[in-house]
Amino acid sequence: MLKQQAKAKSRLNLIPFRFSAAQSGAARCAACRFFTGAPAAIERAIPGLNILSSAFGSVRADTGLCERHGVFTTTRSTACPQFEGSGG
Amino acid sequence: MTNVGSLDAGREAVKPERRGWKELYLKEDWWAVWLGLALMVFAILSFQAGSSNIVKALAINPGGLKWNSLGQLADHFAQNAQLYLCQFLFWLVLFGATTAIMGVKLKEFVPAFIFLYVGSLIMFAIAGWANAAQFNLEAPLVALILGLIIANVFRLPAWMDSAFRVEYYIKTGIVLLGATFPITLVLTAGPVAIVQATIISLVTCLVIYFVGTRIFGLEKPLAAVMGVGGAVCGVSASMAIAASVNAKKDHLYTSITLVVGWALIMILVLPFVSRALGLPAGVAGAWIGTSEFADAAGFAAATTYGKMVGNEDVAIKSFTLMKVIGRDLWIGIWSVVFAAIATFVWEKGQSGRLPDAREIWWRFPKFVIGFFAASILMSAFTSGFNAPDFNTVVRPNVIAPLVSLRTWTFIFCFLSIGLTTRFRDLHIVGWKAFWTFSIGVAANVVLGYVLSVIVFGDYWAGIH
Repeated sequence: MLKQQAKAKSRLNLIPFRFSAAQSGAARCAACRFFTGAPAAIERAIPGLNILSSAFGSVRADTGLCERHGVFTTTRSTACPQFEGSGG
Repeated sequence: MTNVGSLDAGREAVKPERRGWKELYLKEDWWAVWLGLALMVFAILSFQAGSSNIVKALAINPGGLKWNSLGQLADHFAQNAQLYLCQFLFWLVLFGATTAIMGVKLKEFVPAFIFLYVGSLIMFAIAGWANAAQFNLEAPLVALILGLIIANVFRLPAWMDSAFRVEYYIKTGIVLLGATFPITLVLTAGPVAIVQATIISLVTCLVIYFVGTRIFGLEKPLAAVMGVGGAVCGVSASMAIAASVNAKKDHLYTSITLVVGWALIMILVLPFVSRALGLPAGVAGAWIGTSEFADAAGFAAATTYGKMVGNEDVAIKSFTLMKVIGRDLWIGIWSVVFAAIATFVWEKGQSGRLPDAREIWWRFPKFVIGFFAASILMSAFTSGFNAPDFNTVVRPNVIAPLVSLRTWTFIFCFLSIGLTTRFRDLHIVGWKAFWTFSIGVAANVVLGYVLSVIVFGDYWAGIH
């Protein structure tokens, strides 16, 4: 894992962060403790979402909420420097 | 920025959500497909086995009773108490088991669904009053308004939302709708609906986006989230785009408030304006389809107007063509387009997410597949009957029960809209966002009227 992150870092100056990270197989938002991806949890986190929509639908796909930055992202997105593994 | 309650919720979601075959039983779109098709096949097989009475019994409702006294209504329930009990258990098992598989807590779902079923029965009973039409007591309107009153006066606990699944019920209803929708109509009317939806989707999205960013100076992600929400399918579209442009939580809150507010206003206004303008049911259905954002809200408005003019079937058909077949398909395309814009234009390739064309499929509203499948299967089945046989045998034994089952899912949905709309949960939005979205709504409604009534008016009026 450390080797992969170092590899990604070394490419940072050459190509955009997310592109390089994606190529190096770096951590994804899905594995971050700040990522809310379960549909029931998303509906609880965003009151009103279920009035005319649903987190259980296909349209949401793998969209989730990053509680660290308060932004929407997907499970596939490459993790930011503030990534914290769900195990820790 | 971080809220403790939602962080706790987030800890349940530490496992990555994987796409693939699991979607077939973890997404409500697919469950709507399985349930809708299973009910349709069950109705056909029962008919062929000569036992259509089972399906008819499950589809019972007091909506067509035309009762004049409460005694008459009480007699109906007394005589059919066992059927209603069976029907309740039937819906409870279908929706309870499937939502449990998707992750909803059964211990929350069951009591809330009992409340929803009893409430829906009352809505049907009100709509079945002989003088209901005289007082505009159309079932969708009554369900919506009573639901709003209950949710905002009596403060139902939030866990009851487990059974108030607006989207799941409407998607199941749409698949069942496919069973009464001739595939020839889809094929002949589809291209016109797609052309009209394309014009509306592009114009509305661009109006909101450019008014928001150029005139009111809103953040680009917020303008994109509102633009696609107004152009395609409301909050669902906003949520899909939010990930493409890394929108903030507040951006989605803003979109939710604006979409819900305007959608409710249009449910209450569009049917009455359409009636005042004397629009044919097909034309009004198309206009509602181009003006409403969410499927559930649009079906409520189209059904209300159809009931007002005694032509519910046509209003629903043209609405479905316009909204479900036309506009909803745009969501994946907009997701990819805005992901590309965010990556290559806004952030100059530094931090935007890579656009991925596969999102068009990932975000495709899969219940539409069920709608098409139901339409094709039922068209194939009914092609073996001549017109008199269809009208005297197939319609009362297969089609009518399926229509009644669809009506049940619609009433569950309309009542759920009211019951989940707690105004205290909606965030206050800034006036810039309000005016941006409202200008988009105005453009949407006016252009929708021009296209539905003037440009394609003859076409929509000919839907039957």
